[in-house]
Amino acid sequence: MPMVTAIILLPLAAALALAIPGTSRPQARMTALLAAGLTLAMVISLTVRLDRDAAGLQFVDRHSWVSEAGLQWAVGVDGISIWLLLLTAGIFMLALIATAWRPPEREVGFLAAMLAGEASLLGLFAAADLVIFYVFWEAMLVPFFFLIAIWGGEGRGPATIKFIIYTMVGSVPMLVAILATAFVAQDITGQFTFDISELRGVSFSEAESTWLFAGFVLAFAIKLPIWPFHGWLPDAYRAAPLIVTAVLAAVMSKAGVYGLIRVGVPTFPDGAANFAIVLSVLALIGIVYGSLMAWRAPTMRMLVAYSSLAHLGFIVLGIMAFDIQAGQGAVLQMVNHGLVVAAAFVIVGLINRGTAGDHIDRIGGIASGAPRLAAVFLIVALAALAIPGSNSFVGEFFILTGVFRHHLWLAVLATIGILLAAVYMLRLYQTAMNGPAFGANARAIELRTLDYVVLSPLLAAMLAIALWPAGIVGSTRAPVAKAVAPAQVAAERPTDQIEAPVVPNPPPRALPLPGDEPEVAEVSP
Amino acid sequence: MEPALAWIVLGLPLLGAATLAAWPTEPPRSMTRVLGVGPIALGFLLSAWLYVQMLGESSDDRLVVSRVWEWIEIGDLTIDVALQIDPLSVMMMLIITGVGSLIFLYSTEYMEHDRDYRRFFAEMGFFVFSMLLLVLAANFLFLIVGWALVGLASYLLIGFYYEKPPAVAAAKKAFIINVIGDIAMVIGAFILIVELGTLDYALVFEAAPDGLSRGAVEAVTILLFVGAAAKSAQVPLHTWLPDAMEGPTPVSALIHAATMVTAGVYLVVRTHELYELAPFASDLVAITGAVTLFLAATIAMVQVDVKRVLAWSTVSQIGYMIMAAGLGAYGAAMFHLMTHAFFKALLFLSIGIVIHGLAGEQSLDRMGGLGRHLKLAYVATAIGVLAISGVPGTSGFFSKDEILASAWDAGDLGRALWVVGALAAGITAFYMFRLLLRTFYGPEPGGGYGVHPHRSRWPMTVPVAVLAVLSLFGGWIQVPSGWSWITDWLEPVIGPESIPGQQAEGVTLVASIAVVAIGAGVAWWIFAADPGRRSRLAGRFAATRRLLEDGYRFDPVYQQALVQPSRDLGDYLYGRFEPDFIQGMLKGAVSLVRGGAIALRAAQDGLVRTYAFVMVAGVVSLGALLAWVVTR
Amino acid sequence: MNLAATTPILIVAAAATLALGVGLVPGRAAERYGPTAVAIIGLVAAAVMSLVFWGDRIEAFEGSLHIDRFSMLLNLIFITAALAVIILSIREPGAVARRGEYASLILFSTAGMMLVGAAGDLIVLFVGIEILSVSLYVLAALEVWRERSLEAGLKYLIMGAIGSSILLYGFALLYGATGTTRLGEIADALNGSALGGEPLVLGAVVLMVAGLGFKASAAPFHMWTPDVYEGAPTPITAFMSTATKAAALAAFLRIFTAGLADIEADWDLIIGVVAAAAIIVGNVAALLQDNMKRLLAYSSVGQAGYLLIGVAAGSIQGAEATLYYLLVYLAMTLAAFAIVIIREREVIDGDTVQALAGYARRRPVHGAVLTLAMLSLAGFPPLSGFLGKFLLFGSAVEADMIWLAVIGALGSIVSLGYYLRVLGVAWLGDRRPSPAERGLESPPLAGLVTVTSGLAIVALTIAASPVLDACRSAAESLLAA
Repeated sequence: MPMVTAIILLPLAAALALAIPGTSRPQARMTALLAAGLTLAMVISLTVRLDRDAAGLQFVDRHSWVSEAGLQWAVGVDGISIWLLLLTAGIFMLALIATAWRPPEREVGFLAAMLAGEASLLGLFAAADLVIFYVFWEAMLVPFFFLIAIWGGEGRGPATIKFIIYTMVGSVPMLVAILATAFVAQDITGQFTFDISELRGVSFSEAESTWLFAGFVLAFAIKLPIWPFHGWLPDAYRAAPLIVTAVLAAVMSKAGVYGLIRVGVPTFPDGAANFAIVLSVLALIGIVYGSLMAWRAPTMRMLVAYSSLAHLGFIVLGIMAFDIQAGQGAVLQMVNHGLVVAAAFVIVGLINRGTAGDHIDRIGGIASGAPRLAAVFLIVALAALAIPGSNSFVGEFFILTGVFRHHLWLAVLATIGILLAAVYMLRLYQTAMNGPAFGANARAIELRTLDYVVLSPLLAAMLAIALWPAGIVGSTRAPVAKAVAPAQVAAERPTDQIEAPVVPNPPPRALPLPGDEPEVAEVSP
Repeated sequence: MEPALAWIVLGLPLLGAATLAAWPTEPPRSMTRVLGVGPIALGFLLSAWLYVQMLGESSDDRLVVSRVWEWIEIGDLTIDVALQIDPLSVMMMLIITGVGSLIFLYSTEYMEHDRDYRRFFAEMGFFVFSMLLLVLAANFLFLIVGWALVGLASYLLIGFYYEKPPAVAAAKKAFIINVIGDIAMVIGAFILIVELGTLDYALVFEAAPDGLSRGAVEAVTILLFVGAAAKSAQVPLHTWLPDAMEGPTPVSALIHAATMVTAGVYLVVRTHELYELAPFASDLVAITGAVTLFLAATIAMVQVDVKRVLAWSTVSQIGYMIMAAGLGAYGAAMFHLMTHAFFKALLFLSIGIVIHGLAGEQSLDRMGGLGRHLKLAYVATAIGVLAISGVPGTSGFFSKDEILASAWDAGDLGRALWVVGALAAGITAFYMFRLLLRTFYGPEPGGGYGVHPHRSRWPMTVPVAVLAVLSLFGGWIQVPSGWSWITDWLEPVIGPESIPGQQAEGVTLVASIAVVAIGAGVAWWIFAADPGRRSRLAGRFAATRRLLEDGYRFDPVYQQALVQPSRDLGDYLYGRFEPDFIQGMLKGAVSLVRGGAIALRAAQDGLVRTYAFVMVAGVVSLGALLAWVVTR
Repeated sequence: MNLAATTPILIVAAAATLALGVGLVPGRAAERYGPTAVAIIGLVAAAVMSLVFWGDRIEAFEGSLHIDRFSMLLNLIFITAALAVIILSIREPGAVARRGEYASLILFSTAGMMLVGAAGDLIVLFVGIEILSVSLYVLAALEVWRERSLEAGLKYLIMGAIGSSILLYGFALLYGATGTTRLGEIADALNGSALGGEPLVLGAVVLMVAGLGFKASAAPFHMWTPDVYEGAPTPITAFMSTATKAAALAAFLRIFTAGLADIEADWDLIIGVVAAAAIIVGNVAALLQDNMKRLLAYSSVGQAGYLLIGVAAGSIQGAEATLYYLLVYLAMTLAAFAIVIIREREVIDGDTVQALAGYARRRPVHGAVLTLAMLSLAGFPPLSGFLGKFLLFGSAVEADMIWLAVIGALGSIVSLGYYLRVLGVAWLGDRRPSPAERGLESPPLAGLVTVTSGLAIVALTIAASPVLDACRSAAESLLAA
């Protein structure tokens, strides 16, 4: 059976089912949890059956959609995307459990929107075709628009608008770039397709490659976000209901980086090479900037939000280094950041349970009243500041190893981020947990059964990664090598670093002579 | 030899700690004691057994690397979860678990009145695990992991009384400075990976001579040393250790005196193959050690808080070890590391008895004449003082003299450092005797003691007694121009080491006896002979006193030069830059569009003539455009 | 001489006359439902005939009428629009008051459009445009008791006169340049003439673009649109914004893509500029509208721009994309207007955005359709609106007009501003002060139209493939002329 398609459509179907008026709350909960659980199960079975040494897409489903326009339904997974699928399915499962346990008003709609969001993210990570990629990229906005606009807190209106406008500003050039890619590629290869794997290795001229990459990268930069395109992030994270914020930070923020490593870098190596330094420097600025902001942020949410800006900077550094170690580290770090930031937001939520506001400086000494929460919080905080021995450390360590190999100073300066991470995470932990107790009702904050249900899977996953990162990293080597190889060639890296073969498409001999380019006039292949 | 033993020793404390931590409620104290002390004591026995086994091996078979599972394979780099079992690590194991179990035993009594009994032992157990991981790791990555985890344990235990703001602040400071060290080591690891493609000790040391350029190896060693300095409180990263005394006294004894802070010395010895390739870095290490030992000694002279006196003396003593390691006298460094573990633990524990007896009093100003109340503490402290001052025959005497002797033999730099070291030895004698005299001699403070200083029960006295014995006689295992068991034992790791010559030994012997006598004498002259003299002198050297009391004002400088500016930058970014610039971009774009919309609405005035005009105008402009296009 | 081929047009015209007559028959039932029934029957019949003639291409009246797939496809568009509007107009005050005239005028205008769609001759084309316009002038002013309605009719009349004259002048110049009014012969005459070779032709191009741009309400010839759309009875507005636009685009395609294909270099930029202007002006101006009809008017200006992209591309793909988007646009616009019409019946000034506040929550089905329509209009993937824009941008990119695609894309960002606002109000808004209920029950089959249009939006996405085949063959038949 077409597993990947099923994985994407199941939550979507469930969402639509819930959208039918008159669904009762219990029904809705059952449906949602069932759908999410089944999806998770299917993703796990894929993870188990995945060929960890294969570079290409696996379990690919292809169906023609609008053959006249070269549009098709094409999805599949590889050693990179599988982990993002797993992350998505897992995080949403937990989010739905939490929702069902402590339901918001208009619960049914909320669950439906969440499921729709899950479906769109799963689809994005599984997309094997540029148009499908774009479709899910945009479709993602609808559920999150409603989630923030309907269930959000104060200031949700402006936040939603910002969120939408920013994302569209990025994604619209991407649409044009997708079209341009297909037509330019048709000039070169003679076939009109949006299939990512077939567009790979197309010998674009450097100018074409650069322009097309530019068309894509803005979208990714905004979604990530990369400094200074993060204007939407604080408001959205502040206004969204906490579960949604957690999902945004844990899963949706991966869309941008994923786009880079899945589409941007492999398809437009020359462009990527030309942008590498720019993006890396912006990422570096983001790391320092985000850390400083997090340090000075007055509220816990803002602190975590800006810290996530900094952490994503590391991932971008890793990808734009065109280094296999860094790339593998970046993929691992995507998962790590997802787990850690989700847990962090859960804890912020727990603390808010017993406090008047979200202000860090107005609470203290919670540890004495809620020792278990304090312990868990400490673990999460340490993972967030990537203390050696934590799962995040593995990711950041190898990211920076790869960056160091090529841009010594970028790596060295990036370590400022690690130091500042310690500063702001300790500020958060110590001011909230230590010192004389005031401003918070610790009894309300202390962990309860549900909190364990939600937190322990996250903590378990962190521990597992810390003890055996090979479990994830092992499957990423071949795909990452394949993804970065063209860019490595473009960046003129020593050949001993390039593991995957780079096949120009079309092969040199087949390149059309000046006289006989194929006619561009045909849209239909 | 049975590598599994090492794994068990490593695992036991973690197991104990985890059990305590996971226990749903506060477990009965008796069980906490068992789960706390048991694993460490057992660990010590097993380590001893391992040691015995190793004795049975020929010195070539004493290096064993035991792998369990492949931790990660990334790019072409593979890292295993593996332990390195060799004389060095076994020696560290013995010290850690040995001194550790004594201090754990002591703590069962010392912490008796504390609310968080279980948490204390859980965190202590976690520390022992981390420390063992640090010394047993077979590659740099897990060295760094252990390195960071001991930092974490120290953070937790410094901030053990987390309701006390100063404790919290001290914990944070210690953590941050240790992170600086971790980062330096991490960057060092980057260089190793990029240049050699491995992090395993064996492979690195094997490949280093050919694989690493001079610059690279200097860089690596210096970066590693930054880590060492942060952990071992060497100038300029030393400021956290005195504050660390906010933790419970047993913590100060175990972590901030006996074991953790000496990790830097272990690191230099462990990676001595690299340092031997990096003369510049080695000299830097030696000089840093010398500077530290001198500054710390001078600062210790004027401290009023007993634990701070001991803290600064720790910094100073580690300075000796670092200096020795920098000069290549690794055996001497490890020797002093061991003896220091004995007598410094002894000092903390016996002073701990005093603090315990005075219900938490730590200021010298409110002590005096305690010798009458706390005999055992008095005797024990006295032994510790003798040992640390290097009074002939005590353990400190042998180890410190070996360091100075090897310095004497180590060229011009060595001679210079020898002078510093010898001088500081005198100062050490001075401030240690000051501590002794002001605590146990002389009149009781005005109004006597609010609480009657009470004696301690056996769990506190026994460890003190054992440590006292060790401090007295522990030095005899390595006697100049007699036998050198430590150096021989470590020989498989650190290679054959030149024994200091007769002349060096002689000079040092004379010099050190002299300076110790002088130092002790001056202390007596000031603090015991005439009670009034102290205040008179204090008035005369007020400025110097203040400078020393502030520890040469490192802290304020850091605060103003680094912390405050970056905090201000953060405030600026958060308060002005983000709202004005980042948010401004979007606002600008939106208002632009809105402006256009308003303009269009204005144009839509409902008058047909306007519409007609616009239409005709449109036609004309289109025509003009087309004309322009075709004529171009 | 094959009159048979023109049966669709004839049927509609006949139905129109008949409806006029039936309207005069005394008796409430006949008065009310007679014309409507006749109209519906006639339109259905015409649709059937159009389907019958699908496939073969016939030249009627020496090629002054092309009965080909292109015209048949457009017939279906016009007829669907007319059908929907007639259904939505049941019990419409204007319709009731005016008995047969209402239906018959719609039918006449439809017939005119069908002439335009099939026109192979400038004269026929002009006549068709006039027929459709004149009937619309009347329809716009039909609610004589409403000042705005009268104003709308008058404005439309005057502006329409200007537009028609400009267009006619353009035709005259073209005739002067080529000596014929037959599109086919014009094409032959211009064959191989160089860029800007013939000043007369250039003049003709400009004037025709302006004239047709007026009918398609593309900027800067759109100024009448908001006023007229707002003033006219809402069903008529719906008719204008769907059918009329389709007719105008048909004329564009017939004249430029087919007739002037050989001198594309002369006109593609002009049309591109007009398209861009329409996209920018329409979408930006719509941002501040509080009246649904005005908002949709401006949005229709923007949509005209998108439709024109396909013309500017001047290729088969362009024509194909435009045709497909016409279908999609029909569905989206009808859905949107249907909601407005229903709302208007329920409350006083139900044509304001505020009147929709919280409506979606109370009527989830309508809310869903509205959401579909708005998102699709905004070009949200994977809805058919996105697919259409995707194809249009594609044709632009392919014609090396990336700038046009970019402007279009940016336009669709701006458009989110007001489409999402409507959705936000409809789903989240709470109505205060709650407008006075009006209590007119909505037209019986309005729900049907709404849901059908909603489904059509989805169907055009999923079953895009066959539809696009049809559009492509239509486009090819267009160029076969």
